[in-house]
Amino acid sequence: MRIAGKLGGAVVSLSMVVVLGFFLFRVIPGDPVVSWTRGRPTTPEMQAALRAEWGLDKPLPQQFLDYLGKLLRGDMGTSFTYSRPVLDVISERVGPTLLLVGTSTLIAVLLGLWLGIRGAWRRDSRFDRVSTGVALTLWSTPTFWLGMLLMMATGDLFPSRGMRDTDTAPGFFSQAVDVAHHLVLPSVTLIAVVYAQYQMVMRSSLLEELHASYLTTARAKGLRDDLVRRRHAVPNALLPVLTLVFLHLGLVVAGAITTETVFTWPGLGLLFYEALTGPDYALLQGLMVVTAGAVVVMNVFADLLYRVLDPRVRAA
Amino acid sequence: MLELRDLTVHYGSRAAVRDVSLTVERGQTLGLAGESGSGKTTLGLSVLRLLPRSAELSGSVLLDGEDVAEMSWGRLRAVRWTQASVVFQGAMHALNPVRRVGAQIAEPMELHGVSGSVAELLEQVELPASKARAYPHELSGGQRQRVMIAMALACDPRLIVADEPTTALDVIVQAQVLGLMRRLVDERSLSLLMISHDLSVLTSTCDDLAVMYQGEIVERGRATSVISSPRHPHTAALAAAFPTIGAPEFRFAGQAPVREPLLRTEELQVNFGPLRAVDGVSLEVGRGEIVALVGESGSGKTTLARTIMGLQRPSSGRVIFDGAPIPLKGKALKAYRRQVQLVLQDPTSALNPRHSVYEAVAEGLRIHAIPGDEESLVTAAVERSELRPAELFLPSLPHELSGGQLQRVVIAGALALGPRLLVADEPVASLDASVRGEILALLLRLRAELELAALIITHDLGLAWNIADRVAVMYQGRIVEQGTVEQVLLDPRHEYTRKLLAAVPSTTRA
Repeated sequence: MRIAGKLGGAVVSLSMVVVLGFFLFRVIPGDPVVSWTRGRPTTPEMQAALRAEWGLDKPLPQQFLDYLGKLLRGDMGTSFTYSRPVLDVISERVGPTLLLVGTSTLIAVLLGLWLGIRGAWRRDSRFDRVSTGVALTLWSTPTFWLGMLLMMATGDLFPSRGMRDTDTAPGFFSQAVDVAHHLVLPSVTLIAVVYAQYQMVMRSSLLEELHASYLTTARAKGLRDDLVRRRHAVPNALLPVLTLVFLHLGLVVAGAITTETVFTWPGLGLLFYEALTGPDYALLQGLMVVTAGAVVVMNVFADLLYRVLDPRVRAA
Repeated sequence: MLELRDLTVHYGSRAAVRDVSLTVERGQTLGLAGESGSGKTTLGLSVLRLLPRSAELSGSVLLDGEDVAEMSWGRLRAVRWTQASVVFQGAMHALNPVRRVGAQIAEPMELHGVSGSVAELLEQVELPASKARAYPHELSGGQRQRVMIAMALACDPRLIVADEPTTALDVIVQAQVLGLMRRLVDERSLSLLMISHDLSVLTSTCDDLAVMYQGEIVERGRATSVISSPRHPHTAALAAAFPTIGAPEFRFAGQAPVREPLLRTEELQVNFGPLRAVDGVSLEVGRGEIVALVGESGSGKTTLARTIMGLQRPSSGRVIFDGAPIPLKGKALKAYRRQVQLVLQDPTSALNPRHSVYEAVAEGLRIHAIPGDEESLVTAAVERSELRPAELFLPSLPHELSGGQLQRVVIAGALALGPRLLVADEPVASLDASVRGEILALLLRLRAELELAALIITHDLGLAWNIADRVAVMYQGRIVEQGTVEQVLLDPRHEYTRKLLAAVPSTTRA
């Protein structure tokens, strides 16, 4: 019953995203036809033909209905810039994004949770103060600036553009090594910028749990300090943090626009950036639906997981 | 079994426990009484060296001849729960909410390599073995406390420290849990150190009694003699908070004249789905009358109070105030609420910690747009609730005030609106013994001076005996008995009222 409600809510959110996405991108300044033909000799007839091809000559409500109709049939339209189906363009870029942002988020979550737990357990210790300070500094650092700084600091050690070199041998192993090599700088940048939030939330959540009297009970039973932490404190403190983690996992698909742009990583974030400069309405709408869809799905998933992990929610 | 020698515990510069020497012999049961801040919980925690890091301990804590304060961490862990275990206060928070209770009971047994079965332990505390699979929130308060007791027995310790084991339980459940503890202690000839603010609970369970005040033991002796002839004034004050029902010296309210009705409910019914929370209640409160609404948790008394305040719509029936049915919405409802003000149990959570006393009292005035000079109205209300001089208290923040003063601030906030009826939900339950009497006296004075009526919701029959004119007993959504205090408490007609009265632990019965 409650699950059905959640799924219903997810469908509603998605529909709103579809509507919002359509109108939002049409509000941003820029005419795709003008920016597409800029610098080329075109006649008004050619411009009109292009406008007609992209469906931009029809009135806005008509355009919206056309878009909706196609979307319901699973057709996201054709990208203006790539002249290919939006779905194809997007699916090509999903892999690299999942690789970069997925890996980075996973590492950032683990790192953040570990630091947060250690910091809270020894509150105000040197470890806590230093790690909190470092995390906050990194969090407030602009991503592009940190990325460029890393590029300069590491010199030629790691490649700073793209995902693979063209001259790498075709075998799977050598290709994998090459991609991993390219992955280092963007993922380090991404981890450095985002892990702080997991650390902070985990830390404060655990600090709140530390006052709970069931921890005194556990200590009175004769449990070692690390068992009290692992068995009793952390499982409880982890619950609110999970919601945040899953919300962020949903955002993984959206890519990391700044990081991908700085390192020209061929993922969805970079695609977003390119589409915005058009603006490539069809592509933008498609991206919006896909990324929002991922967030909504992850949110529902987090909800279900929460019910499994917290017996109190299960009962309610 | 347990010997404390010159035990002193400091938190920073503040001494929570000062030079306490105390012994609990094998098989002895000792009750440690004191109000909040007296250091009794700190003392209890020091037995197993469970104090927070900020605490500094001096003196010695000998457990079976061995000094706990000197033990290595490894030795200490081995001693914990095997030689002495603890039954903590408020079992809801003392149990891990996301682990099954069976696993929590079994945990110390696995840890210390003790054989035994969870089912047997549960049977000992009169719970079915199937409850092992339950999570804490699926159990009632009494059941959770039983789980705590089963857990304390898991490694067969010689000493049990019980810290407020029955606080927040209903009287009948409390009596059951105390009976169970008494039986287990006798059967296993355990030593028991029971800590409570409630003298009557201690005397009904323990043979000896020690009274703690400001970190020191001020009195110690056989429970019966400490109660019957207290030597220290603080002991007397503690005892006064647990009145003997029927004793004239605990009856503060005078004979009440017959009063014309102010509030009346007619066949009031409130349903939540299939559940009848309030089931045909007809209740009356006269002008300037104090009525105690008594019942256990879940009896529907809070729902009834919410309906009377216009916070909950009745499913059927109506509430008549001053001769007219109460409005159900809009401005009229707001105006009605002004006349009926609420006083909650815990003043620390009822007040916004960032609002000064002035802000807290003035808020109601602003909401209701009361005409007149705000400052003088606030001052008058604060003075009425006997915070004098008012100027001293107005800029204070809640954390700077004591529990009793905070409750006066809450009452001042209600008085500022010039209400005719106070609905007070356990107004003294979270207050210390010595403050309790003052707040009750305040309510009685307000009644005398302002003809302010009060509906006091409580599970404390002693409170009803103290100040109420009439008592209504609520059970499963119905008023099963109502009448004057003397009628209901001294000559109960209904089975449930009798059960309630029998369960009240009395200092005189011990």
